[in-house]
Amino acid sequence: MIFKQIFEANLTEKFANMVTVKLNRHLKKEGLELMKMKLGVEIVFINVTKFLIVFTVAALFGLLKEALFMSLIFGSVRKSAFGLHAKNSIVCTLVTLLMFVGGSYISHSIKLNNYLIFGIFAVLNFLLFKYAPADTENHPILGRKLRKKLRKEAVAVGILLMCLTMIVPNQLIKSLITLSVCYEVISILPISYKILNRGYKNYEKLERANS
Amino acid sequence: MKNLREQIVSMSEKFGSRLIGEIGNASIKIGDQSRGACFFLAAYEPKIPLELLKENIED
Repeated sequence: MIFKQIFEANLTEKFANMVTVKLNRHLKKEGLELMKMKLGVEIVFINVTKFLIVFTVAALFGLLKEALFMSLIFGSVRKSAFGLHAKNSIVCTLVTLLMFVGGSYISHSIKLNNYLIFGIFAVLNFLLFKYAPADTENHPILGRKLRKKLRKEAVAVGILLMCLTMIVPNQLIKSLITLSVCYEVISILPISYKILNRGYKNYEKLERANS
Repeated sequence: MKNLREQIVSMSEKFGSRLIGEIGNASIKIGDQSRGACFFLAAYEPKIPLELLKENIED
């Protein structure tokens, strides 16, 4: 059963399968452990390949530092807030490029004062409190305790980033942080899910089926 | 001479299998932690096996 699931896959998954099978020749894991190994390989592979492309393009435009910084901030919120994902790898690469390279470019022309930052982050943190974590069809967040913990974490990171943005004197850093958090919050809004016709609160169905 | 070559081969085999073991265990750790966090920073996410997610309810 597990091997059947593992072998029904796309290109990224095929690579992950290949590596997992090779690794497992030595480790001889089974069941959940094997699934975790495959997932771990996929996580590393997808992130490395995507960001290799994104950072190469960013470097060509002379925006490497900005794109790196943006992805770091975006990742710190996304880790606990989750949010929308593209349905395939090509769309994903294009969206990521637009977000990080395009965002780095426009950040140079955005000027924000601390009052404006406070206002923007007040809205962003409220939205994080209300909508984080937002799961996907591929990764429903099961467990009330876990969702509560992730929400707390997301809001805490949001508040921390607000303080950091207000303290930092550099205009570019202020706009890079604000824009990154905006991207993340947009990806968790129910309206974004609705526009893209994606399932929201995917955990509900599964938890109902399990109870 | 032959003995030295055998020693080098066995050392590299040991190192290789240890490295594979470390990579495999690190992958398992990443996969395990990803049950409760979003590790896909780029906007594409493969299907996470339900069996792994169900562990969150039990935790």
